[in-house]
Amino acid sequence: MRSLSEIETAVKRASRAVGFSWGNSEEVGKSIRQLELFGLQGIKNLNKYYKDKASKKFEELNLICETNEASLDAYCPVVLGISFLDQIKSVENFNTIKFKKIAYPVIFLSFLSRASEISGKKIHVRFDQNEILLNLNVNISSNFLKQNIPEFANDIEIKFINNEDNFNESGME
Amino acid sequence: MSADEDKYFNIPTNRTTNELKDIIRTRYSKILKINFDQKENYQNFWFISKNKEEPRLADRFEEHGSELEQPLAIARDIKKLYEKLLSVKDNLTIAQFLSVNSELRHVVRRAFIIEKFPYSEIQDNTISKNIVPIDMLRLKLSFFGALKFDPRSDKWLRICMFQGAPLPNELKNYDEQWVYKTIN
Repeated sequence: MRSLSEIETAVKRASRAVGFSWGNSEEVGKSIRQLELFGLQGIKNLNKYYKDKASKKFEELNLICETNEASLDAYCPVVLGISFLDQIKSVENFNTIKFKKIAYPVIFLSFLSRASEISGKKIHVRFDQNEILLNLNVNISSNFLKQNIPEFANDIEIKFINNEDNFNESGME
Repeated sequence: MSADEDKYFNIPTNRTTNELKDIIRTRYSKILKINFDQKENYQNFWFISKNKEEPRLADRFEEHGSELEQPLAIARDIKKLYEKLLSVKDNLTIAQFLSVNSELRHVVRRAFIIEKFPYSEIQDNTISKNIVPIDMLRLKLSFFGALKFDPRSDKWLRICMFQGAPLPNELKNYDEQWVYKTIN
């Protein structure tokens, strides 16, 4: 079995080899490491994505708005994820962030999980029929753990959840 | 010997290009004086060996493979970052800067890490013609407890560890300065 550190290094080098900058490759390494830690298929999906990337053109979104629709086949989950992390201070103020067409959404999820930790808020993600709760990069809950994660998501909706107690004051007495 | 660098892995993208420039001027002042237009200052490159997956040094003008260079030319890349920062507005956020300069992301991260950990970086030109890798190796090994360095070339050396250290039956009463007494 590979250690998480080996996974991170291998992913970093593979990402560089497919053309991402070193800095972006470091981000992918960190994110896929986190997915594998949570038991999600990070390496498997990234490997498929990098093979697809050689023959298909994916759209790179650098500025995230409340509603975003890819004009090409799909958004690149890596560039989208890094943009999301970088713009976390602005996107966390949106009520709902919507995306249309993301390739390999599980790769994007890994960045969202880290975004949840940075913003200090849980993030709720809905894509197609799937629902996921990203809990401050500590864990990921979803309603499809036993299924394979789809390689394409058509409609994605993201909401930051404000921190609130799930009990009232009398519950503390 | 440990530091929680992971805590600072995420780039603080809400900070400004002006702040980043200040960090570079403060922490990399000597690096900024290096002229990377001179061949001898970027003569070497680092790559990873296929068999042992260890860093190796090669001459970029005599050997193939510099396009696969590892991101270990920190001095050169920091200077490139600084020069880029001089050409953009002071009040850009780092997020805005990175959206069009992703090739500099690895050094932006390092600059923000060195702000917190001043000793996190080798303050020298690691790709210069005059680089002596064994200097870095000795520094690293000394942190692991190596003593009595025996250089075999400028790229590798033999060491001795824990010679003169107290034995288990001497641990109740031993000289805490033993390490310094065994160096010579």
